[in-house]
Amino acid sequence: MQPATHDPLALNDIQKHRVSFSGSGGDYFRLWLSNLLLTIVTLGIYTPWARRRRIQYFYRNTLVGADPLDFVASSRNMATSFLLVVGIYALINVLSSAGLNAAVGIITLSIAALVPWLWRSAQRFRLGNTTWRGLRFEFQATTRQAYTAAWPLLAAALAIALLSLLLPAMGGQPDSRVPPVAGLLIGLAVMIGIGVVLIGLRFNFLQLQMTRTSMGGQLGRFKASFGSFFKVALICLGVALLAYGALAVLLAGVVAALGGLASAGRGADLGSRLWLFALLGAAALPLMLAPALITLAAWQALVFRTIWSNAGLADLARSKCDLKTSAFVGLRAKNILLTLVTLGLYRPFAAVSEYRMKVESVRLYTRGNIDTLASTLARHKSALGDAAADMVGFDVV
Amino acid sequence: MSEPGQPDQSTGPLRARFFDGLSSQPTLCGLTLVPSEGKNGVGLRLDRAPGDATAHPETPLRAFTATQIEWPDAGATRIAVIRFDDGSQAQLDGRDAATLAQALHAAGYRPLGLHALAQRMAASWRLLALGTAACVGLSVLVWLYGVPLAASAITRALPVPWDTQLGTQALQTLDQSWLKPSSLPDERRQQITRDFAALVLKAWPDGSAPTYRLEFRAARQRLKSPGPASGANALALPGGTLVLTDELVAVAEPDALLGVLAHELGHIQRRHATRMAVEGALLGTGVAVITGDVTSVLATAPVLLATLSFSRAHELEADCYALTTLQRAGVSTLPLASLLETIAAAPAGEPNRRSDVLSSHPSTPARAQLLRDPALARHSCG
Repeated sequence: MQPATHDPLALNDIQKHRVSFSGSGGDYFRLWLSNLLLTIVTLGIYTPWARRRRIQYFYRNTLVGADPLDFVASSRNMATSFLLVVGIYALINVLSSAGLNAAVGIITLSIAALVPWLWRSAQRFRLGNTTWRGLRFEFQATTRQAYTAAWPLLAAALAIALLSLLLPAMGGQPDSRVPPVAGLLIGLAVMIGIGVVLIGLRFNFLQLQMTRTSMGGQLGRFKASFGSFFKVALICLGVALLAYGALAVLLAGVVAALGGLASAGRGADLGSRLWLFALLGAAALPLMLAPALITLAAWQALVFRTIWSNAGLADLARSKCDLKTSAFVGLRAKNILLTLVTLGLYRPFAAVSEYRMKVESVRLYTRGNIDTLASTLARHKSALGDAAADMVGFDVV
Repeated sequence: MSEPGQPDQSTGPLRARFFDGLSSQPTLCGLTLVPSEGKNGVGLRLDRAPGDATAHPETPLRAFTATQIEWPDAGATRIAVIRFDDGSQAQLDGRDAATLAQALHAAGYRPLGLHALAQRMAASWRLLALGTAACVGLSVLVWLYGVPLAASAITRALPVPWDTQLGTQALQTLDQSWLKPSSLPDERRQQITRDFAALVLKAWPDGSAPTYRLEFRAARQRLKSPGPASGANALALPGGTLVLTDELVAVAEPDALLGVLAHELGHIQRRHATRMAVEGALLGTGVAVITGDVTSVLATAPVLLATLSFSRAHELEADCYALTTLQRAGVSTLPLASLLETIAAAPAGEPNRRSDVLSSHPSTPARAQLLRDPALARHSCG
C-alpha cells in the first residue's frame, strides 16, 4: 500500500503495460549464423562484436510499453573487456603449462577474492549501457556493498580454511574412526550448508542489483524476502527428488522387463544379450541428465517469477510476472530435444522462444500513463562523467 | 561541420521521436537526410514537428554529421533507433523505419567493413547459405593444409626439452591406462637394447641418429583381443622415448623387431609426435574459439596425447627412415615386411586392430610392398 500523501488523482490511475518481444526465431537464426561464420573466419576476433549484435538484437526487440530497450556499449569497450578476459585466461594457461602451479593457484585465489568486485564491475557495465527512451540505467552499488553482499561466500571460505587447519591438529585419520552413518550425516550437513550458502549468495547479489539500480534518478525496489527465495529453492529440491524418483522407477521397470526378456531367451547367446544391454545403457545416459535439466529449468523459471513479481521503480512503477513453471520446463524440454536432433541448429530458435516466454510474462503497472512516468525520469548531468569513467568494465555476465 | 545541405526532396521529413538522453520525455520531430562529408556522407537534420508550439522554422532542433550517427542495424526491429554520439537518440516506428532504410540506401549510405557483411548476411538467406558454404570450404582447407603447415613451423621453433616433458607426461598417462610393467627377462631386454644400439651405430656412424630411450612394457588385459598379434605394439613418444610391448617381442622375429624400432626412430627423427600434439592443440584451440568453450582446450590436450596416432605421410617418412637405417646396417627389410603382412592378414573385425602395432593405417600391404621393392622405395622416399 502506498502512503496517501500522493496526488489522489494519480492514485486511482494505475495503468497496465505489457512487455513484449518483437523478434523472431528466423531473424535471430540468421543473425546467430552470420555471427558464427564471422567468428570462425576471423579466428575469434569478431567475438565482442558478435556479442554486441546479439545483445542488441534482444534488447531492441524488447518493448517496454511501446519503447524498446537498447544496448549502447561501444564496440571498442566490448573489445577491450574481451581482450582483458582472454588475457587472463591465456596467462593462467601459459603458467599452468609451464608447471608454475603455485602461480596459477595464487591467480585463481585472487580471482575468487575479486568475484564481488568483478560482479559489480560487470553489472555496472551491462546496466550502464542499457537504455530505455534514451535514459541509461545506473548501477550504484559500492564496492563495499558488493563485498558485504558476498558475506556467505567469504564466511564459507574462512570456515573451510579454519577446518583444514584444525582437522590435522586433532590428529589421526578421521575417516578410520568415523562410522559410515555419521560420515553420511556429515556429508549431508555439508551439502545442505553449501546449498544454503549459495542461495544466500544469489539472494544477496540479486537484492543489491534490484535495489541499487536506478533510472532517471529513481532507485529500484525489491520486496522479495530471503524466506520467499529459500522457498523457491525448497520447491526445486522437491522437483529434483520427484524427477530422480521417477527416473529410478522407470529404470527399475526397464531392468525388470529386460530380466524377463533375458530369462525367456535363454537359448540366445550371451554375446548378443550383452550387446542389447550395452545399447540400452547408451540410450539411458541422456535420460540420466533429464532430472538435472528439469530442475535447472524450474529454478530459472521460479527465480525469474520471484524477481519480476517483486520489482519496482521508486513508487512510480511495479512489475508483476505470471510465468508458468510447468510451461517453461516443457518449453525447455522441447528445446533441448530439438537442439539435439538438429545438431545445435535449433539453438537460436530455442533462445528466442525462451526469452519471449519469460519477457512476455511480465506486466508493468505505472501510476498514471507511461508519459507521466517518463516526465519524472531525468538524470542529472553530473552523473554522466561517473558513468563514462566506468564504461570499460568486465563484460563477463 | 554540419552545414545542413539541401533536404532530400524525394523522401520528405520522416516522423520520429527525439530523446535527448537526459530525460525520457520525447520531442516529436521530423528527420531529413542531408549530405555530409566523409566516405558514407549522410548526415541528419532534426526539425521540430509542425504544430509544436516552440517550433522555430529557421533553426533545426539538432543536426548531426555522418561520423556522429550510428544508424540502426539492418536486423528487423519494430522500432528503429538512430543513436548520436552525444547520448541522444531518435526513434522511428514501423513504416517510417522501413522508409528510413530505403532513403539511406538512396542517399548512398553503405555500412562498412565486417559489419556490412554481417548485416547483409543476416538480411538474406541466400547470402547466408553462400557464406556458410564458403566458411565450411575454408575450414576444410585450413584443416587439411593450414594446420599441418603451421604445426611443422611451430614444431621447428619449439625447444627439444619441451618434447621431453611432453613425452614423460604421455608415458605416465599410458602407464595409468594401457600399459603395465614388462615381464620379459632382463637378459632379453638387454639383448634387444644392445642389438638396436649396434644397428643404429652401424647405420649412422656419424652420430646423426636422434638420441632415444628404449622402454619395455606389456599391454594391459583390456587392450587385448583374441588373436596372435593382440597387444603387440611399439610407440614413439615425443622427446625420444621408444616403447616396446612384450606381445610384440613375442610375435616378431629379431630382425623384424629391429625394423619396427628403426621405424619408430624415424618418427622421433622427424618429431612426428610433437607435431601431432601441436596440431591437436591448434585444432582444439580452433574448435574452442568457435564453440566459445575455453575449458575444452584443457580437456582435449591429454586426450590427444593419449591417443597419439600418426598420419599416412608420417608413416611413410618413418618407413623410409627404417628402410635406410636397415639397409645401411646391412639388415634385411624382408622380416619387417612379412610382420606387416601377418598383421594385415589378422582376422577382420578384431576390435583392437587399430591399436595394434603399425596397423592403424589403411595401406599395410602397400607398405610391405615398399619394404620388399627397392625401386618402389626409391620412388616413394625420394
